[in-house]
Amino acid sequence: MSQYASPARKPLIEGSKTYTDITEDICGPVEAAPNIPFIIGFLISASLALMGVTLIGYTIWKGIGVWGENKTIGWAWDITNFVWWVGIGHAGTLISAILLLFRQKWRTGVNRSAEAMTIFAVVCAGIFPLIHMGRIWDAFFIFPYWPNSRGPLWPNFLSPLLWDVFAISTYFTVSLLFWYTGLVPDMATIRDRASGFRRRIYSALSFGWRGTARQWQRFESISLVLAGLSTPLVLSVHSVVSFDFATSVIPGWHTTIFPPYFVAGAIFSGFAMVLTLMLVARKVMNLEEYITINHVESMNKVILMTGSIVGVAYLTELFMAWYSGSTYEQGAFYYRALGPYWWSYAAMMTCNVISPQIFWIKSMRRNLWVTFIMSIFINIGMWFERFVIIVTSLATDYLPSSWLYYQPTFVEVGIFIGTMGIFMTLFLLFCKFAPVVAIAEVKSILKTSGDQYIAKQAEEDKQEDEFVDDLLRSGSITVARRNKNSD
Amino acid sequence: MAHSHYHKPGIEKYDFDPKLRTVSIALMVVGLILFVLGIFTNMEYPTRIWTTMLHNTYYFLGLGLLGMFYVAAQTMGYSGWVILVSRIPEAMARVVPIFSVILGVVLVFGYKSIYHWAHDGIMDPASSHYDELIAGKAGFLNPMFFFGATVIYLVLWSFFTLSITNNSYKHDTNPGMKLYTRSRTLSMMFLFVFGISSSTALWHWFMSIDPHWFSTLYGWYCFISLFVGAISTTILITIYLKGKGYLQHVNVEHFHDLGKWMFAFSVAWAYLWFAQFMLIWYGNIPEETLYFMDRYENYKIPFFLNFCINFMLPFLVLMTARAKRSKFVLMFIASMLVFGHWLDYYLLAMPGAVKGAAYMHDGHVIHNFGFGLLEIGCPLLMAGLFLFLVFTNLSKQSLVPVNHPFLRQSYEHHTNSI
Repeated sequence: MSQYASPARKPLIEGSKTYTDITEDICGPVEAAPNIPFIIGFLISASLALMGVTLIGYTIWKGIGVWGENKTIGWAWDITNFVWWVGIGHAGTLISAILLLFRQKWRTGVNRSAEAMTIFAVVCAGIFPLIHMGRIWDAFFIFPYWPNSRGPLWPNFLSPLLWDVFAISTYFTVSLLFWYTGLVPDMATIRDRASGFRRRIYSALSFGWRGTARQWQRFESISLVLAGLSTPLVLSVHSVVSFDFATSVIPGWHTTIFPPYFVAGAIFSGFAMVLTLMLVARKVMNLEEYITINHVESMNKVILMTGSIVGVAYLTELFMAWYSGSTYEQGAFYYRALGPYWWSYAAMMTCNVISPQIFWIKSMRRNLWVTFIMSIFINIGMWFERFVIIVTSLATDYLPSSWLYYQPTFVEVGIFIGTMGIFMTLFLLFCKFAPVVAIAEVKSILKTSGDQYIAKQAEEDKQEDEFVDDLLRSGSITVARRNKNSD
Repeated sequence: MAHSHYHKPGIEKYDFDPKLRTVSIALMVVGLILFVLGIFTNMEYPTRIWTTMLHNTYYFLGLGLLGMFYVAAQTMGYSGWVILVSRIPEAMARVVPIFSVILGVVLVFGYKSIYHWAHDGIMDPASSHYDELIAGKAGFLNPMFFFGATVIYLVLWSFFTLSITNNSYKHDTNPGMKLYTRSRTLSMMFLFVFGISSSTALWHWFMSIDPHWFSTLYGWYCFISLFVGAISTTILITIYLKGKGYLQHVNVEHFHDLGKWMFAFSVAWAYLWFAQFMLIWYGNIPEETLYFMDRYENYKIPFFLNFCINFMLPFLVLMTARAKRSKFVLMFIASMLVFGHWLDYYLLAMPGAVKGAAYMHDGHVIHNFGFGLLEIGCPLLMAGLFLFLVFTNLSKQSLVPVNHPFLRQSYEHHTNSI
């Protein structure tokens, strides 16, 4: 027996889909030959990635003197990009772990692609601290290993930078496991429809999945365990990233609100990236009935909430800087807002706090163009937030005689654009070779959240509950036009 | 489809149990006697008297306020399962206007005793008590701003708690989508107002007790502490009503979910506690560490109890599904947490106030642990009043919001699948 769902809930699968339709619609793009837009997109992304890799090689060969960093500003684009990319990943973890605990069914439409983005974003993020070391082979020494060949020396366990190594590598491992575990039954679905060499490949990828009751039972158990592991990760990863700054005594860095505020900001930027990519993907891959306007609206609500939390944090920081009575704190925020980098502060405030407020209006939340433009805004704004925190705090700290202005060189800009290329290349490969929507999970909500089932339930309930009559009268519940036999 | 077993629950009336009424009145009377005795024996410590009143008035006001937050957040999140118990936090929310009045009175008459920054001469360069740092904060710490803002917070909170609950009660006799949609609009507005005022109010009322100290996380920390308190109170009242034979459709799944909330937000509380403590410890800036040093040195027992009760206990005990499904375990942990977060607020308020007052006496700090008749009488009085008001509110309308669009989902909340 399927669970009851109130007809007051919005449908999450449209077009009166049957189970067969779902399989066909989602496997279709994987099985078809790559089309022209895909090939063009892939070539552009791969070229950018190649450029990035080349410039990374150039940096390693020449040393980080080829970057624009100077004696005052030793963390700049590199760490900005690192924090930005780690943040991008957070939507996937939130959707797969926290929204699972909250039983939010709309997560099934976007969880697969968001989790994939998590992994690709962490890959991009991980590049930056490594190349920032200058002598990249030193990366070996950040890992504790046994037996320790460094004599009595260990990595500094009291350093938040080391905590970050643990946080990010745990995050990557758990996210990868979670993502791939979910993929196994869907890979098997593709395997069963394939033949020849393709079948052999997908057979290996699906680890011999047969869909037996025992396999499903174990699948459910491991999903729950991984969700349990991922939930604290949503909070801990970006909290630890924030410790990189907040444990210091640099004005503008040392502030107690950083951990939860970084987490909110990360989710904010992560959802923006999910929207940027999925608004395109749902159109190109004909997934509009699975990633519906209701999904988009839910994500815009998350964006509005996390954006407002971030806004409250910005204002709290400003207030506390004044209230603290500390000249250096006050100075840090004065120069942040009105100093040489005022434009980055202005961009951050506009993109992250002011513009998302239009999502209080329902028609804006449901407007795809507005959503797309806003998602780009937020991606930009959240990059500037990290730039503001990192660069402006260092640029004007305790000693005015050391104040310097930082400008990136083409190498830093190129590497950043290159990581976008790497991210997009990986994402496009994922879209081509794996089901971009979780087939099994979407099927699990069909009977409660498919539009035809909601209409049917409304018909059953209409004598019983007056709100159902209201909904039917106002036309909120409509029976999909394409009336296939629905079971 | 096989849902024929569903019969829409009807209006369920609650009668205020005379025994419970007597208990709540007795609590008030005993509390009042102890408190008055405490006042007479502590006349030389007006700071302790008024700070205790601030602590307890705000704590019980906050339980109601965060009950409102819980309902509003669930409304905005389209929660289905919670509907059968939602009348309980709603009844808690309706204490806000009355406790607001009490809090207003306490602040008007007590603020000179509670707040070091309000002491005479602190902001006067000619005075021997002049404190340059505090004087620099005069833009925020002045009676005009303090009381103006206080009135705005209390009026807004009272308005929203009354209008949201009234709207919900009206829905019982006016079925349809209209009032449900209105509850969403009101909840949204409340969350916006509360999102800002929950921090700013606490800066004024509690953070400024330690006028040199500051922490950007303070507002969120105070918020989450009371949030756990409100969830725990909801659980206790639900278990009590269920034990009396009410709320028959509330089943073990509802308790499991309430237990998850209590567990999750106890961990969230610990997260914020740790974030604030660790960053201040690691930074090791004297102006900031002072706050924790004072509590660690002079309030060692409550300082450690706070973390043990509010984090370690729920974390270890509520970890398993079985624990969250046991009413006995839930009742035990929820009672401990209501006490634990009360203790947390004691630590927010009392140490700073006592120290501030001591500075006024030749800078000699009286290490007054300060736990006696005052600190026992006042919470009993306020708890009695809180109980009396909440159960009176509960008895005025149905325990089940009969026309809520998600009522049936809460009724059929049997399994844990997505």
